[in-house]
Amino acid sequence: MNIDITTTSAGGVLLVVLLTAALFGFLPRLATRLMSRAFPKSDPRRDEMLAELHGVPHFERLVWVAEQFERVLLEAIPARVAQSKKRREIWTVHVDGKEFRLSASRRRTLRERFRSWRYSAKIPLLSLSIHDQDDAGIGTATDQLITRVLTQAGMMTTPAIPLDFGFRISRIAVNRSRTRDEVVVSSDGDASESTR
Amino acid sequence: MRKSDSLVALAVVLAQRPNDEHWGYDLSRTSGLRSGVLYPILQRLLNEGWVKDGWEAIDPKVEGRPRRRFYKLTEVGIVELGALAATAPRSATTAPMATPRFA
Repeated sequence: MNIDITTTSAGGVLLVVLLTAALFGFLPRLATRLMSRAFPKSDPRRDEMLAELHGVPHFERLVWVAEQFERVLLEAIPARVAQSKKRREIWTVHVDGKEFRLSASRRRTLRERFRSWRYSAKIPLLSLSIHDQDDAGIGTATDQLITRVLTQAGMMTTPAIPLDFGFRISRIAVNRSRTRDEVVVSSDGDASESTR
Repeated sequence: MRKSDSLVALAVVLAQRPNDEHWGYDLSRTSGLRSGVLYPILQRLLNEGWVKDGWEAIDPKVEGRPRRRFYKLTEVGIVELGALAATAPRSATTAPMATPRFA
């Protein structure tokens, strides 16, 4: 019986190379990416986990990845559970102002910085939606929210409320509560609030 | 903060270079603590204000890798963890684990 040793060994070597590449290259990265997603979106541990992988020597990666699974069980899942208990808030900020209307033309910037935005030429207001689940608390102060919106939109670099903007802010709180707040800030900075 | 062997091991490593920036993986390697133990301790140290964190100042496109998160001792941390490291057994202060744990 004749056996083609050359072909068999070449195929075997190729298989070993592919398996090695998958085990020490592709699979650890994939597993790390999947596991990092167990952390809440704004949690720095998510990016940290991905960045750390690059510093781990290839031959240590399998063990390192297994250790990260322990982190997911001990840290990420409790963080997710704690987050789900928090009240989720969705803020919609309607902003009117000459500068802001100009910034609406920079659509790409707005799309990158806000989860959703809408500009209507008929209604001279810009609607920007912020989901505050990840960093709850900032939405409680109207001036902080306005500062945050303007800073994110690239309209402000210092924490002060400019006087030439008009705002209408809606807060929709979901989970646990169904409150819906309306905050209207006039151009002179006075705020009035109502809860329904 | 509860004093555990793991915390002391980490304190020893941090106290050896109190003004340096430390990476999670390096800390894990030099202290001999696995990730599941190290990172919760680091989180506690952050909450206590003994350690501060930040992101490496590099351009990821140039370096070809993402920015790493670093940990650095605060003034309070240098005092507190320095005191903790001083209580460690002599063998722990002179010979931190420098070889891979699974070698």
